[in-house]
Amino acid sequence: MFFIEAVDRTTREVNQLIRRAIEQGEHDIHVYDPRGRHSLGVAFFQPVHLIFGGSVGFYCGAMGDGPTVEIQGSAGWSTGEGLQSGSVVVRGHAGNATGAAIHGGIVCVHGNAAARTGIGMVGGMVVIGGNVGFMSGFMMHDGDLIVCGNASERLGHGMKGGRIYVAGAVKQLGEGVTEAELTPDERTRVEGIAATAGLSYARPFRKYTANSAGGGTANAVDIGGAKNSPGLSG
Amino acid sequence: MYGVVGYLDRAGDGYAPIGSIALKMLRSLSPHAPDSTGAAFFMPQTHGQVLVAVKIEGDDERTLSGRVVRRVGRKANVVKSRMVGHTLQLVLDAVEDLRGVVDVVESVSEIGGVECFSVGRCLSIVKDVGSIEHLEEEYAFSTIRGTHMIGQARLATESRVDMSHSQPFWARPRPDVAVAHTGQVTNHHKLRRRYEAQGQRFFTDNDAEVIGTFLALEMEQGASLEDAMRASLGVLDGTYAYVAATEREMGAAKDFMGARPLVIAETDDFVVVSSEAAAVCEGLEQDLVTWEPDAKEVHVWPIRMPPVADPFGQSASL
Repeated sequence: MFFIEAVDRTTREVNQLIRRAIEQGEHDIHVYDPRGRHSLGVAFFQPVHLIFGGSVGFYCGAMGDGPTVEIQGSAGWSTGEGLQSGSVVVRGHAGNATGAAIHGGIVCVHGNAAARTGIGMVGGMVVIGGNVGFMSGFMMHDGDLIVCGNASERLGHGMKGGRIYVAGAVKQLGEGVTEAELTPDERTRVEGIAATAGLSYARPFRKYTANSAGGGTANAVDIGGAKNSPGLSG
Repeated sequence: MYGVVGYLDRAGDGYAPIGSIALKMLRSLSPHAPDSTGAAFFMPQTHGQVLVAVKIEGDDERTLSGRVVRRVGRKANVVKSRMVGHTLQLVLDAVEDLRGVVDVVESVSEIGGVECFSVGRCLSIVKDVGSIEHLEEEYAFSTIRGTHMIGQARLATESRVDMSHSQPFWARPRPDVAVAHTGQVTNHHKLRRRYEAQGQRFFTDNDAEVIGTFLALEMEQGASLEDAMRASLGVLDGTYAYVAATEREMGAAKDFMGARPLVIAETDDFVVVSSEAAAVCEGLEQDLVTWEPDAKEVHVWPIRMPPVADPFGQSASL
């Protein structure tokens, strides 16, 4: 185990220390007190174990290909964005665009994730123990988005492929999304993934996919912006 | 845009170190936001006295501030007046007509360079161009104590960089209400024209000033801060997150798409909000678990202790 104290170091210095430790053959690297720094542990391509002993900022573990990253606090936006393989596990909550555009690997959040979780996923798995926010699964192409809690509005809006599984309530499905049949084999698989991640869920999972028409045309859809109130319009 | 911060004390006696927390939080945001910095501090009331912060900017700040003090003196008893940086801070007594005081102060603005930054029994806004370090040097931020604060570090994208365009904004014309935002309100010109036709006065073309006016006018109609903030989401277009506060509460809101970052950490002792978890952790000097609200969410937290008279004069440090 290799220890790095982050508190008086810049993001660049912390990442360089991680890189140097990996070059020296370390496999378990523990970064203490990250205090919400952005871009920690980005673009590492070795199968090492990186632990961040606190809360991190944006892009933690993004563009990884191999490392298993563990965040013991909460995480900011775009955690694990563009992951190719390996995993990013958040013990606390995560911000917007968690697991955005991942191609492979697993991004797992034990708490809640915010808006646009799993946006533009191309593959891999995003597994959330709590709730997900507005437009989660937006423009998904492939992969699995598994939500043990509830989903907010416009779930899977404009998705082209992939599968969304939600155990809790779905406030509103997005354009071009439909509920699909969950086969017993698939249920076993999804429940197995949740159990492996150590997550619990109160109700049985339900499955949502792009509808047979191949998904909505996201750009043409009114996404419900702020409307001027009658007294202020014109 | 850049980053907003907010802190509300739940544990103390009303004299939490909100100034030094603001300093640490804004310092954490400042590398990305060099243009201007500011904070709205809320302190317990002192014998019903009124705090007024007035921007004094010009070739002869001494004469300008003297003129303001003399004119205000005809309307109220000026207990204390002092220049801090480019701001004239007044403590008034025996004020019957708060708005009248604002009108008197700003009647001096016909010759330019004078603007009420804040008015209220609890609220005092401190803001200026430059980084937090500059503000700390000129305004001694970190000595301020009180119940809660909101603040902002600015990277100008929509309007010019000067003192008046700095944030937070006083929610003119309502005393003791302030707002700061990150992001862009895209329909602010349209709203501004509408409000100007109704007689509202604007000093900048910063979009956050319009958020303040919206909240103030809703609250003048009897809405709570929370109701006003909820209503604002249907009227303010664009991508933004903002913090707002009155003398009794602090709130945070996100636009309809949740397109701007805002995180919250809450304990029995305090509530802290910011655009970045880093500011939350650095402000409290501890690793806190933060969470991000969803789109269209509004959260409002009351202060635990109502503002009371201050027999020891601790807030006299204003």
